[in-house]
Amino acid sequence: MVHSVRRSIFTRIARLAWLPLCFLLVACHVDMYDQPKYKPNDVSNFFPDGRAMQPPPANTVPLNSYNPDSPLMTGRIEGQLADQLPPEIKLDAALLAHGQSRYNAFCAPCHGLVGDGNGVIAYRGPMTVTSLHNDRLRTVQIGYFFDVITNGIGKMYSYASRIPPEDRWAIAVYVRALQLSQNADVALLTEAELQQVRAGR
Amino acid sequence: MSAQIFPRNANAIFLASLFGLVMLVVGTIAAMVGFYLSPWYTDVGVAKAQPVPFSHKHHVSELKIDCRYCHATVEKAATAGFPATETCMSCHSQVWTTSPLLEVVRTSYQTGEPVVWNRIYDLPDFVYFNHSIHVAKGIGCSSCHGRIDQQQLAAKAQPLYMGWCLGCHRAPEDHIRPREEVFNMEWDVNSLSLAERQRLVIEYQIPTDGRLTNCFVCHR
Amino acid sequence: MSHAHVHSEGPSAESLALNHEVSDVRSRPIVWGIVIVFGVLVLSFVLMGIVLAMAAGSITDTSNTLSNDEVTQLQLPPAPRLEQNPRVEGDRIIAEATERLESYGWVNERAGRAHIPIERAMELLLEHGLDVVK
Repeated sequence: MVHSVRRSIFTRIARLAWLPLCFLLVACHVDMYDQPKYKPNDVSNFFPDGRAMQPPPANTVPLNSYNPDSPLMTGRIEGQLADQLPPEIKLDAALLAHGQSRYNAFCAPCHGLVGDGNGVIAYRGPMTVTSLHNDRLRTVQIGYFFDVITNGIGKMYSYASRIPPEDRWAIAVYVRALQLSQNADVALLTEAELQQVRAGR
Repeated sequence: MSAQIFPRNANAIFLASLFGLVMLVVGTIAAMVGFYLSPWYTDVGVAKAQPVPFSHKHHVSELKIDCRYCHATVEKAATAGFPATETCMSCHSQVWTTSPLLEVVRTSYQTGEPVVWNRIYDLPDFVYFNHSIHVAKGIGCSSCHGRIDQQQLAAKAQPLYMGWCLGCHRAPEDHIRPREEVFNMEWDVNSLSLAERQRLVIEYQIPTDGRLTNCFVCHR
Repeated sequence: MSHAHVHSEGPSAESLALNHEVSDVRSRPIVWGIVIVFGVLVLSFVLMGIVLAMAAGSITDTSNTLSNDEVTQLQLPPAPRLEQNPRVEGDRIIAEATERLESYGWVNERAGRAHIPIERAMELLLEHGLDVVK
């Protein structure tokens, strides 16, 4: 009698022994952590080149009002470098401030914050970086800067993949501001500023 | 008097066992919590090997390259973006052109095969984090990524527990900074007073009515 | 030893009647117990120290120290290495450029050309248009 009671208790406990396993099961259930979907920069087992982010296939054309041949996108008007801003870009303080932040992020490493070609990378690397402060670049069309950023020039790579067209125009405008700041006609300045120029402060 | 079944120290052993059992349970739980919070589990501060031993310290702290130079989509897209091989080559076609350490990058540029970097921060797939909104609302890189400019190989600075996310979503004024300082690694939150930071929260139109802690803000 | 503290006259009748312990507590096991507890404590600290010393390197080391092999040595420029502290050099270049962008001064006095702060240049550019540079 006592024996059978003890056995039934043991059986009852043994029947519940799987309960702690639940903890393991819930803790290891990670289906939702790694869902079968692609996120940017993922590795893919499906595409032959192993990329989840597939480059657009050849001959892909953009939709809507996007016009790849417009001055906004090419920096050119009828094949010639644009000598004015495209109609979509309005010259204002916000554009200049935006251009400044872009210039300092993308251009300053080599061209320097001042644009004199003495950036930190240029200082360390074995290369000569073009200064933005010479007569050729001061008189060149504004579309030239857009074109260089878009297509690269000489040893400079294209920055088209990193800087959207609107930002390229902002940088081009800011380059003009930099050029003015390093070569301003004193006729533009006030008397107080002239004093500061003479004092070198 | 019948024969003693238990020895004289049975009472003491029983009490000690009870105590031991309690301590064992408490200790096990404490050890599990400790493990859960420790770098063994969270990987905080654990540098991962990468195909190229890229040093953020060198490129950010010494070369003064802006975060956006490589992570160019951080202001526009959900992901900051791993830099394309072309981004590396825009400098390293000129600098360190014969370095064996950069062989992987050069090969990638020639063949078009991407360099497979090892992800440091891997959010669960049910969390939809968006870099651009945080950057636009004045949350700096270093708030989550720590002083990445002082790390050679990159490592996690935060375990990314949900409670940590919520801490900021409940009180953004504890972490906000002016937009111009978002990419400044050395920015100290305490350089602005609490009142000034609260003004920033209002200026950047960050909702303070508790909407930011709704589930659907991060989980969709 | 353990019986040395037992009173020579033995337990009193009163204590016996009240079923009190008839012998003093033995101090040796207690002392040994304390010693063992502290010994185990010290031992576990030492063990923890050894485990941490072995594991901590892989846990917190973010220094990415480069090894001394040939490949690494090829990376270093030949001595003398002039750039002792690249961080300071970088800071200096940034500081000089910032100073230049915040100050007035002559660029070419004869031609009447000056450098002015970038903020002022941006204002002037908005005022006079892009062609003011030419």
